[in-house]
Amino acid sequence: MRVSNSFPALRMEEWLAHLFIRLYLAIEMQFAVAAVEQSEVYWNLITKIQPSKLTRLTQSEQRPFVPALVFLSLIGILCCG
Amino acid sequence: MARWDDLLNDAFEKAFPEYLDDARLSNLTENEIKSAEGKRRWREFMMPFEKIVHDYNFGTLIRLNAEGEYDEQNAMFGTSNTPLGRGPLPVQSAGGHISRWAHQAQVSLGGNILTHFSLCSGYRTQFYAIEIARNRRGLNDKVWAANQKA
Repeated sequence: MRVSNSFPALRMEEWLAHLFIRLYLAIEMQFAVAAVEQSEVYWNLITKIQPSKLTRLTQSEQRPFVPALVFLSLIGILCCG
Repeated sequence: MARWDDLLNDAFEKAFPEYLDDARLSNLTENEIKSAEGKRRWREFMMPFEKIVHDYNFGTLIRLNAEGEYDEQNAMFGTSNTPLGRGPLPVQSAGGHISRWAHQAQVSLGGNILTHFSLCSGYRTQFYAIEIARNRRGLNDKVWAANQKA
């Protein structure tokens, strides 16, 4: 079964597999970027404020909304290919 | 105000008494955390915090040496690749040195830093436990002091 003229060489299953892989990678990238950014924020904190005087670490950040990350990744893939 | 920090720190000291030794806590080895036994112990430590710590199992970079910064040698990464292979990854953030390092790491690792992040055994709860203990015992103060001189 052919999908459309824009994907002439791919069957539906192949196209879906590619889509899921790209989605998976896009989601992973979001998490990787978040991990790097979190490290950067923490490094800036402990180089500006003496760490032994920090009163707490937990609950000091905005929680990323995972379904939103998934949704935005999907939109990005569909729009940008 | 620091109730969860206290809770985490107490549980950490009970679950990992070996890290009461400052030298051990300052210099972690990837193997002691990623070994089968290490994974089991950390899993048991983390599970009670599932509903308490936001993103308790979110992948997080952990510095192995408390006196070092986040760089390719000092941050704990997984080292295997996923079957999905390697591809380009623009790791972009506010333009700080960690982003630049991540970009370099991406190049030096042969392509895809994503796969390394995805297998990273550093979780947010581990990060909190280790860094709270380091901060409270003053093990991170050298980093701060070094950056005041610079």
